[in-house]
This record gives sequence, structure tokens and C-alpha cells, in this order.
Amino acid sequence: MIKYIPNQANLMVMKKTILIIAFICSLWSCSDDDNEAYIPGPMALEVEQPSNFPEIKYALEANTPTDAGFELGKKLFYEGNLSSSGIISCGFCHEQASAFTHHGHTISHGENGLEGFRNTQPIQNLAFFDEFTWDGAAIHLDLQPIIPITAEVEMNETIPSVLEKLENLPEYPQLFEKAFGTTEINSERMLKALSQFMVMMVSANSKYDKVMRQEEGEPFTSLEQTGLTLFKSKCASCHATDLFSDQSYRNNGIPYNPKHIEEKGRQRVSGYESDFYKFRVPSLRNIEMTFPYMHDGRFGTLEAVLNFYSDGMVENGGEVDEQLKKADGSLGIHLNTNEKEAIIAFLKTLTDNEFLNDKRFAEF
Amino acid sequence: MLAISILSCSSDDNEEVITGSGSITVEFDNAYLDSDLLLNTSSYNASGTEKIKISKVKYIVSNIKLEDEDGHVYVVPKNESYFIVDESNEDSQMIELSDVPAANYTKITYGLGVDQAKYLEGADGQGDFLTKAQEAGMMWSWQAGYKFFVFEGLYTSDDTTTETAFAYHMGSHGTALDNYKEISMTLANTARVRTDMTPIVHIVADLSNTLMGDTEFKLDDAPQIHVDAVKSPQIATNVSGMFMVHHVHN
Amino acid sequence: MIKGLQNFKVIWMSLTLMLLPFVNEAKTCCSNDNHSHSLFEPTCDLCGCSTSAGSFGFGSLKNSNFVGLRYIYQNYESKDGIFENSPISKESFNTYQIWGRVPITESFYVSSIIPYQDLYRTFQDRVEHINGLGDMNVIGWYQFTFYKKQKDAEVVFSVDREPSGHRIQIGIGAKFPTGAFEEELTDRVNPGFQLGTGSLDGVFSLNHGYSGSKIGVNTTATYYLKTANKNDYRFGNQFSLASNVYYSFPKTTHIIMPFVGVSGDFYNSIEQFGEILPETSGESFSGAIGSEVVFNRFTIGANYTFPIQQSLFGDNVEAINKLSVYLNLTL
Repeated sequence: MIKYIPNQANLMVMKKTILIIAFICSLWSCSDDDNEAYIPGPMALEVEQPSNFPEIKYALEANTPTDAGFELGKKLFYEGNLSSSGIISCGFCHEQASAFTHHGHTISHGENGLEGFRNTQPIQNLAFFDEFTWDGAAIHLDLQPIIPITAEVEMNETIPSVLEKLENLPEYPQLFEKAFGTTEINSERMLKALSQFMVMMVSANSKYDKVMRQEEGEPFTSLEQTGLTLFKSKCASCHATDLFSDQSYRNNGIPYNPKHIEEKGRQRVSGYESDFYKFRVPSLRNIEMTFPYMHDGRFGTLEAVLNFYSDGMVENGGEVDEQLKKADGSLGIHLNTNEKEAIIAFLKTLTDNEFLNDKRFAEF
Repeated sequence: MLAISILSCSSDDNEEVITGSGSITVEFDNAYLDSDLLLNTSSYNASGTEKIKISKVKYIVSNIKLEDEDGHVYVVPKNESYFIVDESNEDSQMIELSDVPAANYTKITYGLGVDQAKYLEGADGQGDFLTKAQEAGMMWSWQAGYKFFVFEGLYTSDDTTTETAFAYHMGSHGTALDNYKEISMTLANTARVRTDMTPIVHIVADLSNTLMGDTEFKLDDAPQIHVDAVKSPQIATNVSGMFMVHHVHN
Repeated sequence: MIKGLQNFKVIWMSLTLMLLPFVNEAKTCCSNDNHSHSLFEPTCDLCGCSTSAGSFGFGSLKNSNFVGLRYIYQNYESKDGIFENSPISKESFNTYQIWGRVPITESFYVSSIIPYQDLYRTFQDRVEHINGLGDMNVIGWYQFTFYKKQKDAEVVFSVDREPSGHRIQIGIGAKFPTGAFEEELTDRVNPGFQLGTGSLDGVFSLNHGYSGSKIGVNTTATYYLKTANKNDYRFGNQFSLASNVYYSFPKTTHIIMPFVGVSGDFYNSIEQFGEILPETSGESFSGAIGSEVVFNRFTIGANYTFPIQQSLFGDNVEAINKLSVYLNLTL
């Protein structure tokens, strides 16, 4: 057995090497000590792109959702201080259970009990759209909140005043820092946070979706299947794609509402008389929960809507869409009672309970 | 001999090497025809028999670009390039641009209003401008968009003998109407930016062009124009033609 | 050459020919710019800094040799802004000069003017005041005296030739930048509100004088060749033409010589960094009336100048009037 017994010289070398290595190690740990505590940055969130949906339109590169940004956006969404009284938040009219519409309200009431002239629209799948509101007044999701925040009949505030309020609420500066790396609160960051919250709201897990994507779940009943076929032939020319809107502006022959003379439809934005009473084709997802229907919420049930389409269309001062004219030139869509029943059954398959109960978007 | 020596004394050698950066001021001076615009008190002649008193003039100037004598173009960084010129606020009429590369500039280009590209950037890059525009009343609430041009006051005419309010608000509307206009003007003498020289480009905006430009407007026809598919673009054209560089002071 | 010049007709022709290029200059220098607006801050050195302008003359009527003191008062109104309704500022300039003309040889003289400026400008809300040494000039003159032509048949009792009364003087000189030029002052209306131009300029003058027993005529044409100053600011070249007619009333102890005159000044555009600044040219025509009184070796003179027609710098500067008085000691 040969033992390796280091001689004196070897020992010296060994000692030196060990010392040097130890020295270097200590330096390493010394420099470690000088480091600040590691602050984790916000984590990026992925916006769902369902396989049966068209491409996302929102420019995610300019405003990538992160967990911190999303949380800030949610807090702002439910923040009553964005209104002049401190009570009305976005969530006041956009209630999750009704797919972020104002449950049962035709026209929403805002500050000081004032009313506008439009029905609250759902907030869902907005990442797939590039124009917003019934008449396309906002052409970027980030800018849309300016409308309700500054409208006298809605939240009745101004952007500078809202920013000032946020600066003085203790929670916000840190939340802004977490999301954007600075406690400086400005309109850009506030709006981006709200957008980050909103783009994550993807509703694509209804019964319809699962059937379409051939995922696990219940198949269509025969009534629902019939409804789908009818829908495709009579409704899908405007309510197209799996977003159920072709995102165009159309006049559907809805009778003129004399209670709201300020309502001009798309004409308000474009200025063209030919756009009078044209409205953006709404998505029909979660339609079961978003009653009442139409731009002024005049129809309380889906039956009423289909009755309107079969027998209720009139000239309303604008140019009724050609697609809604029958072969003989009269207005309307041929629908008998059975067909209406089937279509309504089909429309109910667009309800996405996962979305409506998604804790991520809930206020509490 | 004396004359010749004097002449030779005055010859300049143009071999200056231009480096560094400096500042330049662009001044927007609002006028009505040949007169300095005075809010509220002065009465001006408009179309036909109409006489107007102006109470508000505000417009958005953006995307300023400067071209030098060699053809190089300096573009003011987009996020710092939106300004509101307000007749009631003297400071707003002098736009100071800093960190401008030293050069001899011969041409200035800028936009009146907010370009579509800016809208489509969403909140990204709106920076403080959104807030400033809100405070200045240059935002439409019902449409998340900016008012590019605000022109308000009172008028009378042979048909309208009591003073009646008028207001022209012009901007872009969604994707339907893009009223952003670009204006380009050559400078009569160069604006020389150096590390120690800050020239002033003095621009005069003749507000009479709003009503009496390429298209003539009679306030009796429509004293309020806010959204109009036909008239808003005409107002945009009139207003974009109201500018001229009065002089450059080095 | 001199004999040839004695022929009077030749003299007048050559004088006209020599002046012709200047006249051309005068016509082309002030052709209007294509600018439709005539609103701009004017700049010239007529008003303040260069009160040794040709229209004031370089000497007394008879152009004798002298040294003296002269006081000039000028009055202008300028727009304080670029608009029609911009407020007016009133300028009053006081210039105190030591001036003189001394002979070097029989035909060669040197004249000089050394001014001191005291300038006031009144705005609606404040008064600006600058004073100090102005720009002095030194001009060398060569004089041609003309003599009567001797008729062949005439018997001459003297050897000396008799002067015909005509005299031509050619002057070449310079205006020196002894007065301060402040670049900030060019930012205002009428940047002529300066003590000096800051530049060394060339002065070229041609003077013709005729003095008869009673009547005399004195005509001066001057061209100023301006150079750029340290701020690369170059006032436009200037051409001035002045003519006075005087009549002598000899009395026992003194001679009274009232005179009337006309003058014109033409200014080229100002340049900075070699570029013409728009609407900085101008022209004015004035009339003058005054009198000189000669007694012992003294000459006292007074001259009142008033504008007849003017277009100075887009009509933003208006000359109101000028008054000068002087006291000379004849050498």
C-alpha cells in the first residue's frame, strides 16, 4: 500500500493553491454581499389564441401583459375613484356574471343619475378587435377607457384628476412600480394596465367551442345542431367567424328611437349621412347572459330579437343593409317559430361558464 | 488701394466644422390677416358681411422635422413631438427643441394634429400628451381622440344681428376620417443651430384662412362644426394652409 | 488729362457716365422681393450708427478747409412687432460730431468725422437708451479745380489761370468700427439702433461743387461698401446722392447763404452668414432747407431735412425729420 505522503515542497505548493482558491472564493462571496436583494420583475402572461379564432389584433409587443400589470389593471377596473363620486368603477356597469355587461339595464346610468343613450357592451375577446364601441369611436383598446372616464353621464372625470387621485391613494404607486418599474403614474401606464387586464379576457370555452374543436364535453343536441345550420345560412353573413362578428358597421333596420335623438350610429364618427344608424355588428358570445339587446337595449329576450328580424325591420332614416333584404326587396329574414327556437337553442351554446366564473377577472 | 484692402479684409472663409448639438425655438405667432390676433376684444372681418370676435384658438403641432442644407433630416423623437399651441397661453407659442444636431437648417416640416400611427400605438408613447390634451380641452370625450384645431368665438352678420357663438372643432374620427395634415416650409435664410447659437423660426398663422381659405365658410350656414365628413377635411385643408415662416432669427 | 477735363461738356458727360452705374445700382438694389407680406423688422445703419451718411455731407457748402462741431438730431418711428397693429416705438437720435477737412497738399485733403451717439427709443412701456462713441470715418480727397479756357484773342494780364468755379473732388476712405455693435439689439425692430455697425466699410465719394458769385451748387454721390462684422452681420451696401443749391447774400460783416437741397438714399438688403435677410432694403428721398452764415473765420450752419418719399424696410420704419447745426472754424 503506497501512501502518498506529500513531501515538504509539495505541501507548500498545496497550501498555496488552497489558499489562493480560498481567497478567490472569499472574494466571490464578498462581491455577493455587495449585491442588492434580488427583486423579481413582472412575469409575462400569454394571451390565449384559440385555434378557432382569427389572429389577435392588439399590438402585444407594445404592451405585453405581465402578472403585475394585469393585477394593477384589474384593480383599476374595479376602482371607484376613477369616477367623480368615487363610486362608479368600470366594473359598475361591466359585471362579470353578465359577461361584463350591465345586468338587465337597457341604458346604464352613471354619475349624478345621468343616462347616456347606449347599452353597455360586453368586455370579452377584445384583443381580437381593432375598433371599439357601437360606432367605432375608439380605434385602439388603450384609448377606449378615456370615453367612459371623461363622459359626463358615465364616470364624469378628467384624466389629470384621476391620475392625481391615484397618486394620493397609498396602494397605487407601489403597484405601478411593480408593473412598470416606476412610481410615476401617468395616463400611458394607467391605460396600458387596463388593457393588459382586458386583453387577457378571452372567452373561447363555451359548449360551441368544445364541439368545434372536438374537445371533451357534451355534443350538440339535435335542436342545437339545427340551430347552428340555420344560423350559418341566415345570420353568419354578418355574425361571422367564431367571434360572431365581421366587425363591420351595418344598419339592421331597427326602428328609430325618438327618445334618443342624439343617436346617429356610425355617422357620429364618420360624419357620412350614409352611416346613419349603422352599428358595429356585436359578437354573440355569451349572448344568453348579456340581455337586453341592441344598441339601446330595447329587446329583453332573444325571442324578441328574432321576432324583430322576421317581422319588425323598418326604414329608420338610414340605409338598411342589403343582406337584410328579402328577394322581393322587403326587409327581414324568413324565420318561422321552429327555426327561431332552434337558433335560440344554438345561441345558448355560446355561453362560456368558465369565462363567467373565471376568478382571475373577479372583483373579489 | 484702401478700397482693395478693405475688400480683401471682408472675404470670409467658409470652412467651419459643425459639431455638437444645440437648441432651436419654433415660434407660432397667431395673426388675423395683417394684424396680431387679439382674443375677445378685436372684431375681424370674415366671409361676406360676417364679423367675428375670437375667444379661443388652439391647435396641435406634431412630428416636427428639420432638413439641413445637405438634405439630412432631423426628426424630433416622436414621444417628445406633440405640442398644443394656445393663443391664450404665451409660453405655449414658443416650442423649444433641444438636443438638435448642429447644422444649417433650410426646411421645416410639421403636422397639424395627431397622426393615425400615434392612435394605433394605443397608450404606448402617448406619454404626458394625453393628460396635457385633456387639460387643454383638446380631447373629445365621446370619441377617444384629439381635437386638432379649436376655433371659437362670437359672430354677427347682416342676417344674424345678435352675437351668436361659433365653434369649429376639427380632428380625426376613428378610422373613418383622417384629418391629420403635414405642412412643409422652406426657410428664407438658414437657421443655424450650434452649441452656442439658438435660432428662432418665427412662424405666422393667419387665422383668417380658417373661414376664407381654399374653401369659404359662412358661419350663418353652420356656426358649429364638430364632426362633418365633408366640412372637417375642408377645414383641415384651410388651416394647414394658414402658416408661413415670417423670418428666421439667428 | 486735366486740360481735357476743362471742356465743360466733357465734364458733365463723364460725370453722368460715372454716376450711371451707381444709378443702376440704386434701381436694382431695392427691387421688391417676391414676398407678398410686407411685415418684417427692418435693419439698416442709416438711422443710428451711420449718421455720417452722404446725405449729410462731409463738409460745409463751400467745402472749405475747416474743423468744427456738429450736432444732428434725428427722429424716427418704428413698429415694435411684425404686425399692422403692433405698437410703435419712437426713436430720437442725438449725434455730436467733431468734423473737419484739412489740406495735405494743394489738391489733396483729408476729412474726418468722429461722432458721439446718444440714442433714445421710447416704447409703450419703457425707454431704451444707449450712448457712446460712434463709427468714425476718414476720407482722402483729391480735388480737381477747373479753370476758364483762355480765348485765343484775349489778352491776359496775369500769369495765373482763373478758376471757373467748378471743382470735382474724388474721395476714398473708410468708416471704422469704433462704435459698439450689440447683436442682441438686432432682434428688435430697427436694429439701426446701434452705436456702430461693427464693420470696417469702404467709402467712395464723388463731389462736384460750383460756386459762382452768388449762386452755388454742391452735389455729392457716395457709395458705401459694407463688410460683415464679428457676428457675420453685414449691412447692405448703400448709395447716397445729395445736392444743395445756395445763394449768397453778402453783408458787411458776414455772408448769409440760405440753401435748399434734395437727397436720396438707397440701401441694399442686409446679409447674415452670407444670406440675404428678407425685406431689409430701403430707399428714401428727402428735401432739405437751411442756411449757413459765414463771419470772420467762422461758419454757422443749420439744416432741416424732411422726407418726401420713403420706403424703409417694408414701411416699418418711418423717418420723421432731421435737424443739424454746426459751427466750423475755417482753416
